[in-house]
Amino acid sequence: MEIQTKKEANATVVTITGRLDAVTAPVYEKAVIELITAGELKLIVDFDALDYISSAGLRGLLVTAKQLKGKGGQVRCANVKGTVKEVFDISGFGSIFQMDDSVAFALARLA
Amino acid sequence: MKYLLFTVMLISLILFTFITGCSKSEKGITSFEDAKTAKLGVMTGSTGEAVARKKFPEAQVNSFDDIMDAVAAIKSGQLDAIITLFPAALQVSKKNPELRLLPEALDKEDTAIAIKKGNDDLLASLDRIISELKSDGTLDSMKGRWLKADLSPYEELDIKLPKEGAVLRIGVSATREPFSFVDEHGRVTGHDGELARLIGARLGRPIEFSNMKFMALIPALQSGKIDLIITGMTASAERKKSVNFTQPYFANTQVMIVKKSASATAGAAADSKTALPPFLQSIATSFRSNIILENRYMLILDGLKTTIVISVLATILGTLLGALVCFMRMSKKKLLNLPARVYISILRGTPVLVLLMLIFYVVFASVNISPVLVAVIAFGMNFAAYSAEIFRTGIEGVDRGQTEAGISLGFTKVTTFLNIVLPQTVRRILPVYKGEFISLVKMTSIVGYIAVQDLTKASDIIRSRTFDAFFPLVMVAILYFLISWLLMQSLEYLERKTDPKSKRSKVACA
Amino acid sequence: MIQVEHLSKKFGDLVVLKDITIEIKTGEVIAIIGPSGTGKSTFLRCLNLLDQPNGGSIAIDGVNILDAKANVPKIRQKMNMVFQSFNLFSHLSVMENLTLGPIKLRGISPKDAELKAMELLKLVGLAEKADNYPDELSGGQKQRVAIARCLAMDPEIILFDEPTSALDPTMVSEVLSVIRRLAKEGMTMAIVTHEMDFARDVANRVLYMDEGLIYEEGTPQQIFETPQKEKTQAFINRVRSFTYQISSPDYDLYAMNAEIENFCEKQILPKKTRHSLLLLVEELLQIYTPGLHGTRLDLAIAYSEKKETLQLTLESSGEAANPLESNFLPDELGLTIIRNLAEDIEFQRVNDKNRLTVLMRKTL
Repeated sequence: MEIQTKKEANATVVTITGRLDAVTAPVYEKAVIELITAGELKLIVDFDALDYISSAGLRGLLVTAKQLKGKGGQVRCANVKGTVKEVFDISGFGSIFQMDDSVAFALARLA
Repeated sequence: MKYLLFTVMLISLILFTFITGCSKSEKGITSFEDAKTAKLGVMTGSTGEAVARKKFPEAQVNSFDDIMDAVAAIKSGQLDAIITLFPAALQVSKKNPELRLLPEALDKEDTAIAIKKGNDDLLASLDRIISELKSDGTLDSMKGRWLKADLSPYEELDIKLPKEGAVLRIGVSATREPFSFVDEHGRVTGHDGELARLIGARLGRPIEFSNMKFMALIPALQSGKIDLIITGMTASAERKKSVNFTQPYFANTQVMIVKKSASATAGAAADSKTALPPFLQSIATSFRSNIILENRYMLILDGLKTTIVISVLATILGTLLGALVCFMRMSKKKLLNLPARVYISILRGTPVLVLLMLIFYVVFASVNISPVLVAVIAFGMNFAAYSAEIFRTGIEGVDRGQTEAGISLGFTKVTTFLNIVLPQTVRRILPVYKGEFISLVKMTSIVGYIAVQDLTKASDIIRSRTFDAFFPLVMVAILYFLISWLLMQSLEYLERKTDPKSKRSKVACA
Repeated sequence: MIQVEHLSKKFGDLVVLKDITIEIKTGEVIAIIGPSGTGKSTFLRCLNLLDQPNGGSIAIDGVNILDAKANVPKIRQKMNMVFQSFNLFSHLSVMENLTLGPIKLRGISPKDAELKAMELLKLVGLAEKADNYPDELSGGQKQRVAIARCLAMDPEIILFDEPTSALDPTMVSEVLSVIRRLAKEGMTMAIVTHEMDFARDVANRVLYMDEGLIYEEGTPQQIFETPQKEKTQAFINRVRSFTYQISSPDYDLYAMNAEIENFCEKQILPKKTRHSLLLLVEELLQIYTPGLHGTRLDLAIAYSEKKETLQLTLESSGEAANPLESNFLPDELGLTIIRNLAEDIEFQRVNDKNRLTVLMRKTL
């Protein structure tokens, strides 16, 4: 897994590439919590390049989302599709998270 | 075609150079002083060899089995001088105008008859006969008639030999004119031939000559294959250790043969340049002297016959024996398998010449057996070792499935082998077998060692008379090639016959 | 017709046939199936003594052929064999291949033998190849000639040793159709084959061989539809399996994933199935992970080629407890995913071990 962050005008885009599983979820959590502690309260997670997600990955997402909520921030998920979307749907995450078809849409919604 | 033409031209050129003699004439030897660092030719195991090494320590000494080989070498410029016994040297100089003898003798030695140790009665009678021949002047007369400086024909005494009685077997190396050589009727004759007949007549026993390589004579005597050796043999100290000698019947000397000075030979050569170009003329001359004269072609024909008989019989014996060895080798029983393995490795690891001599002088030492038969046995045994392995690889090369299919059809192991494996094996091994056969034919050229007169031996005999190395050798080479080629053709015919598809193509043609 | 009792055969120390007892009756067509190296061909080769058995007895029409006095070549004439590698006599034409045995072994005149051979060649559809040589024929043609060669001997039974294994797939059917025809005509045959569909329709009786034994036998229906024993089932359903062992919570997930991917690739599973399988395995292991200290977990994945199903079996030591009902789970996330991916989940306590069997849902 690879994590890239990009600061946009009104939010920070976190792009995850590869797999978000039991091994990589803690890495993701750590990276995002660092962003939050640094004061980033509006996050967009881009799933475009993510091939695989397991319950461990979902849990990581959940943990960071709760942290943000506590600080009054918000998170949106962009480009959730294919097998990753299926896992979202199975676990009911599709309705918990706010989903967008692209990063641009998500940015617009946050504005 | 171009290549063929080129090859023929090349061979002609080489022959031409040889036959007309080597043009690179070096400074001739005129005294023993000149010979100090020269290249000397001697006869293997002769006293001349010892003399050469003692008197010319710095010279390069080359040993030859036969005088004609040494003569061929000096003529082609590979030697500067030959050290040999006077009678032989005399003969050489007579027949080779470009060679001459140095007048002084290098060494004196006694020529005597060799007898197996312990045969004292015969020794005593021989000594008595020699004394008689000496005192009645017979030996002197013989010397006059056989050791001549010109080429006029020999006069030979007509000696009546008894037809009945115990045969006296006399070992000779009949390539040593004028002591012992083969005449136009194929008889062994010469000074020693006559002496042998005289002895036979006086002992009242019929005689039989065994003509073999000089170095094979003493082993033959020791093993009882022959009773005496009369062939101009020197009674050297070395030989006295293994055999007994009679009193000398001839006082011999070691002399040196050298090339005549360049000017003398040039004159001789100029004479011969008359009608025909020198190359063709020398071929014509060689042909006459080597083939026509004294009916020598008969020697060649007889030799050819012997070579073919030995080759064919040895192949048949070797194939049958090889099949047996192969059967044993492929057996799973150690009792059969092991002897076959040992047989194959020993026979393949032994030079066939050694095998031949062993069988002749050791195995059949006390048996009066035809040397041709010995040759057939020796070559047959050797061939068997090779053919056994050829058969084995051939048989093993046939897929196991073929045997299984035959057996499951209801054939027995034997009928499966005969109907299915063997036909496939034959086709498979013929090419290799052919090669082995051809090399057997060529290998038979060593049978001269056990007194068999084959093609090579015939050429040796002719060369010993004519001292023309090249013509007989080339002719024999061509004859060997022809034999091989003919045999090859017949085997190839067999090969075509065994190719199953040939049957069909013939049908298709018809 | 053939009565085999307690037949055994070993090659050196390797026991190939342990104890075979079977009776073959006239007119029966017996298919012998089973994994490679379980002695099917050896059994056939022992029947006509191409391989000498080490023990037991073989009686043909009441005559024990292992008796030293038995005329084995004579008996073999009644019991011909068709080989995997055809084994036509390469130095003889097709016609001669067919007439050699009858002429030499049965004393039939060459003319009669050729007439009969021609008839048989027509039967296998190769009359025009009579004058050709084996190396001029295709594999399928060779095998048909080999069958005709057997028939030329008027055998009472034909033994087929994997008759189509060495053939190009395109040539298999021409050979099988000849054998089918023989079966219809009532020829007694024993056929070692890997062609399951063929075995099913041509045989009256099927022997499944494994472990040097006739492991299970029955009608084609019984063996192919309702095999009783585990190994037979695995073979019939063409089950391929993969096993992995985990003995610490710090196992290398990625190394294991790579091996599973490899296994999937061999079975040519679609990408989607692979993804679901990997997810299912990860979720299951996630549940097991907290309890992995000091215990061992054996993971087995079995794929049935025939049913196209994937079955996961997880076996762990320790106290009897269904891991899916344990209290260690932080949330229902993993379990939800597992339930969604699985068609059927079963927990058993077997041999003091907890066994969880999960049948994966077929992905569309």
